[in-house]
Amino acid sequence: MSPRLRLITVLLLASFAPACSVTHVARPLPRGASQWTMSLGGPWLPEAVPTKLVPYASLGLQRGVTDDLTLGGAVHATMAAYKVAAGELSATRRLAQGAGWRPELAATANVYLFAGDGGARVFPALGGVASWRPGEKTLLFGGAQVLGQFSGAPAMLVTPLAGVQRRIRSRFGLQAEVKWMAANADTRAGVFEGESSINGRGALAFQLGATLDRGRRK
Amino acid sequence: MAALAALTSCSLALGACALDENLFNERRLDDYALSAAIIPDSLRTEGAWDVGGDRVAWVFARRPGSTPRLTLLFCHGNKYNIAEYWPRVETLWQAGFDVLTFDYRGFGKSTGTSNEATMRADSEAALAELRTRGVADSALAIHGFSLGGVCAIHLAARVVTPRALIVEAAFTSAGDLVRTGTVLDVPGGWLMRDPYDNLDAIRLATAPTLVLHGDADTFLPFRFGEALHAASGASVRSLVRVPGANHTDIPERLGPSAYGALLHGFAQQRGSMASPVTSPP
Repeated sequence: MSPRLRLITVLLLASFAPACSVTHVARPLPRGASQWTMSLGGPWLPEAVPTKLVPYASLGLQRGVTDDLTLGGAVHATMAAYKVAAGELSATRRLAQGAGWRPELAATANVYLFAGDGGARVFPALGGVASWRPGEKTLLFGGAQVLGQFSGAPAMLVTPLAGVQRRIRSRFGLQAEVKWMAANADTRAGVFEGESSINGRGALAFQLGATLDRGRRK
Repeated sequence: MAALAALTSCSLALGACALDENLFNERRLDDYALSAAIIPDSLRTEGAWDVGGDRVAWVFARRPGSTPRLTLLFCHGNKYNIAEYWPRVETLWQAGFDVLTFDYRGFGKSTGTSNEATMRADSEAALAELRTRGVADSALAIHGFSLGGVCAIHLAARVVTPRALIVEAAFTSAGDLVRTGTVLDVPGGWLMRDPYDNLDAIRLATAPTLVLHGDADTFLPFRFGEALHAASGASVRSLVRVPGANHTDIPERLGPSAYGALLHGFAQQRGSMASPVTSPP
């Protein structure tokens, strides 16, 4: 099949696929702390020409409302190039404090919003993340997100994910994340053709994120 | 953060991105170097039209002799150029058609770049070429494969009532392409500039219509063929479901001679031999 036409899928999935492209808030921020976030990345396409891949980019801000609750929002910059306003609102709630190798547990809620010529779409998502801190500067996390579609053909799409955060400087951190986007969706048929699927399901995606604290953490 | 800001503003500045160009998988050539093993050089003519300031290359293969026959305007798919589809042209020629095919702008020896409007204009130039050659509408069949369905359906819907319209492994619309790619219900217009709305256009096509689609098409699903057949404005129409056929291999699945005979027979008999929905043995 046409390699270039396949690339449509990369962009489409990068743009809209379940769990979108914003890297996860693995743990709530301390109360009063806030940070800028960015993410860049999208589905992996083994046969693609890298220069044709336009990574999905977002820019956001998070704030610790309490020690257990962080709220945030982000704009999805790439979609602006398609004249589609896109963004998300997020909330992360700590469920259980971690200690040693006992994971810290958090629940996440996101609402992805898109509006452009032809209408608007809202995709809510719920998720859970377990995180471990093997060292002072490193955080490992894993979890899953379920995104709901209530227009068109109703669907619930599950996205398992895993990643690592590493604090590089006192205010600056990096995050890498692997997602199996829409792991319960058959993506063998249609223009997607399972190109970056795992066994014909979903799409494997890689994302890089960065955080910059606003002010010094207490 | 400066880099991020730059990226964001760059995206905003672009402002008018679309994925349409990815529909076109053109490969430019200086020479088609077409095989003469089946269609002798003496029966093949090559040329180019000037359409909108661009050169649109074409190849015409005529049957020997002067017996009245059907002419097929073959609108090829998105992969590369005429040379890639030459085996199909040979099959259709062997079935008894004179065959005219052409390269969309940017494909093969054609210059420029393609979009929905240029594809329409190029196909209209092809029709004008056939009329110049004295081909009557009643002796004309129009065949669109995959992306070529855009041209074939456009002509039959808005420009001419041919003897037959043949739509093979085509898509319904850009919107449906977007939706199959995203798994989500999003408007096609968000990512595609042109609508490529074959589903809407085929309602206006009243010529006997044959829709062929493989039921194992992993690229453009069989339901696209079903939808085009259901929407067709033709009172005589047929949907041929080809068991086990993927996107490009309908001729091979049916057998090239059976495939050619099916298309030629449908055009010859104006569809009267076909049942509304058939599945070949």
